[in-house]
Amino acid sequence: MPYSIAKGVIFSFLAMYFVLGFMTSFAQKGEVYPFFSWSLFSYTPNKGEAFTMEITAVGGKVQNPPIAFNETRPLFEKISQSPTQYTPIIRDLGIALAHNKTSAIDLLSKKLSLLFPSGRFSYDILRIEYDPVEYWRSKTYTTHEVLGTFSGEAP
Amino acid sequence: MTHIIQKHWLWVRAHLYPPSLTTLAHDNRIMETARVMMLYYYSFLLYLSFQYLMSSTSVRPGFEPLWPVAWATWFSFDYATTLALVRTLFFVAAFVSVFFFHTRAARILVFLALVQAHALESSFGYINHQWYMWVYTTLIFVFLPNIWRTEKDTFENRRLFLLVIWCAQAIVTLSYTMAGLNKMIAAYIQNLAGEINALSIGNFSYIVADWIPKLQHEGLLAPWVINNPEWAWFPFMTLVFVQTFSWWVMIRTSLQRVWAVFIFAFHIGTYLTMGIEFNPLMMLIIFLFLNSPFIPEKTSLKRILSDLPLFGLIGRYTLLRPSKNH
Repeated sequence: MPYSIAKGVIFSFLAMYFVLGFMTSFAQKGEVYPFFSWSLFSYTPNKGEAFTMEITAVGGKVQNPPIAFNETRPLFEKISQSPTQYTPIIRDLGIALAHNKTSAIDLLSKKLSLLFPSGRFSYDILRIEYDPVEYWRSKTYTTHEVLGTFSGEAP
Repeated sequence: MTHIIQKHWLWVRAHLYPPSLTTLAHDNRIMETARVMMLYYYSFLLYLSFQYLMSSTSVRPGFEPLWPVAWATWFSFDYATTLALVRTLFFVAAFVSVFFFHTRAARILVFLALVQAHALESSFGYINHQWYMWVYTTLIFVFLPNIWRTEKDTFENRRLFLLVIWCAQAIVTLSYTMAGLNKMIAAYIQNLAGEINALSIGNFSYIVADWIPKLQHEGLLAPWVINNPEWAWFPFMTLVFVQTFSWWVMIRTSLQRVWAVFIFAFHIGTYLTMGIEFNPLMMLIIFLFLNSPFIPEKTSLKRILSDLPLFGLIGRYTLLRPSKNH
């Protein structure tokens, strides 16, 4: 390929990558493989509403107090998973519960039920009001409310 | 009128044009640096494939194959079988490419294998961002002309070779620029809503404090960042600036090494504050930028300072301006 044409192709490719990358921000999951907007830590979390999970029973054994989501890494590591990857599902399930969207609740809770296939477990989905910095200091939410209770079992 | 347009065009050419690859292609030292870069690149790819081969084989729940690994569904392969096939393919392809990276067939093979591995790793509802740049660059390097063969080491092929490397570097820097622009856009939107945003003092403390429970990892520096929001603001602002202007190092190539060191330090900082590792990406930055063929052989501190985005331009017309007495 002649050099001048190659230069044009490369600039068009980079421009296309830039445009398509930014367009993926509007996609459902925020990216369309293999394009990505590279929006990482763009929005600063503020004091406000969020959703989280608490595990109330593992392998049939009731956890009292429940295991907060931020202490579940050992459970996830046993199944070679990262808990961080589940935060979008937990958030979406929380939103579906808050708006009573039955089909979304079924779909998302089914995805979470595939976790920890070696034993039964139960969990609550919570709506919380919190300030990230205050939570880091005190480990307490400003307010919290259980939106739903689910059980997972080996399929 | 023509004179004014011509004057402005000359300014654009002088300030906003990448280095002339036509000139660089004559330099044997530069061409040797570019060739060696490829050896390091494909050698590390072999290491990456070996690491992948040795990684956990545990069955992971929620396998939803992305389109490059859709064949797993067509053949009704479960995750374990698909993983075994993809791992073997990636390792074999990377092994072959270390010895035959000068041939296009080997580079195509390793690109396809890496896409398979990356897509498989990203088939659990969450895409692995670490390997994206390796996927893009292996694709770009497919188009390298074979200047390793003496009869093909022509001037035209040398220019194309440098152009392909420039493109690979450009896509990496472009991704950082996009990350910086996203932060600026989000800052504008959050500022309108009266929220703490990427430019607010204390924003970094909020980001770190919010991500600790999600990542379930508290980095060594996390308490310092949260407890010293004013001090933590400076490195974050520097990061936003450097990220946004990352693309600039493709035009002012004297900045490439400085940029690479900064980005390397940034990723170490990300690990120390939030525990997020970007090891493969850090290695790619080292291979592509630390000894880039586009860095001028003699680069002074004054040159680096005058090439800086915004500050360099201001400095060029003020402090760094040559004295009229000389």
